[in-house]
This record gives sequence, C-alpha cells and structure tokens, in this order.
Amino acid sequence: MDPMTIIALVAKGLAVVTALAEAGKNVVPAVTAIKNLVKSTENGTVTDAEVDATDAQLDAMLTKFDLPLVR
Amino acid sequence: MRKVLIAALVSLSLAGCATPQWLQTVEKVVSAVTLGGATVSNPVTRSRLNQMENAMIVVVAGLQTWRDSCEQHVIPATCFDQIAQVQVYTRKIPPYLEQLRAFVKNNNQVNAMVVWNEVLKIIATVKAGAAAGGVAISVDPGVI
Repeated sequence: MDPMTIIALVAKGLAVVTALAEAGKNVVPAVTAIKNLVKSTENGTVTDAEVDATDAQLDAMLTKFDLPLVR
Repeated sequence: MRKVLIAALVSLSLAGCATPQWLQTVEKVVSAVTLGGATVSNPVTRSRLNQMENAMIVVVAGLQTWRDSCEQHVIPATCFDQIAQVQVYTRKIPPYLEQLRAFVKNNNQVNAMVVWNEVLKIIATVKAGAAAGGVAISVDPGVI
C-alpha cells in the first residue's frame, strides 16, 4: 500500500483506539497493529519475526471472534 | 501505468438508540480498511500482505468490541443474530489466509492474486449478509 493509504488507515485506526480507550477496552492489539503499519511503511520491508507476530495476532483474534456467541 | 487499487471501505452501524456513544464511534470507523486489489502490476508482496493483515487486526479489534458489548447486553439483543451472520463469513477467512501466506512465501503470484481477490469477495458477501440482518455495512470499491 502506498504511504497515503497507510496514513488514512492509521487515522481511522487511531479513531478506533480513542473510542476503545474511552470505553476502557483493551487497545493493545490495535495500537500494535498501527505501529507495525507505520514501521513497515518506513522500512519498506518486514522481518520474518514481524510477519510471524502479525500472523499469530490476527489468527488469535479471528479465532476469538469466530467462537460461538454466549447469550 | 495507472495504479489501480480497490478501496474496500467497510463501515458498521447498529440499529437501536441504546447503543453507547463510544460504541457508535467504533462502529463507524472500526471496519474502515483499504484493501488493494491484487493485479499483475500490483502484486501481493510479503510486506503488502503484512500491512493488510495489520489493517485487518484493527478491524477485528473493533468487531470483538461489538461482540463483547453484545454478550454483555450493552446493546439491543438483535446483535446476536447480526454477529452470527457476520461470523458465517469471517469464519471463511482463516483458510484463505493460510493459503495466501503460503503462496506469498513461495512467490506464487498467480494463486496469491486469486486468493486475495477471493478475500475481497468475502468482504462483499459480509456486507450483503449483514445488511439482511439489519446491520448496514457499506463496501465501496474505489480507484486510488
């Protein structure tokens, strides 16, 4: 993605983080993701460790969201 | 050559006046993610895939908040059905991600592009499914 796209995405992400923080929700995953977005854009590349960490984080979050709902 | 990107802007909004202000804010922007359509001139590189996955993390963080609020009965009970409908499609994403990561790792661009564009189709299907359940999700393809 080009830098301008990343900037727009970061801005939207920060709006999410702000709202989550105001509600007392966990903001760590979103903040980390935003930080990674900026970092990878700066560097233009990613390390194996960064890729593995992102993959693991996303997989875990999708797994959690996809669990059956508790009514 | 003109660089073409598909901008998939997904915004969620819930019906019901009982929804807290902070959650409304999350709903409005949580799923705003720009996903580039994969083309020969715009391939799925390792770095690009990583950026996309980080964007998805922000989206899922918001979806999880929606789910948490639903299970804690902070928002109207119709959310259970709405989220269940969204889950039908989000559950299809992990197998595609697994394939996509393998294709990108092996620089198999032909299949990587096919799978990534399939993920874009799932997002469009999420829109239709959620809309049928009362959740307005707008997926606006655009050109950047």
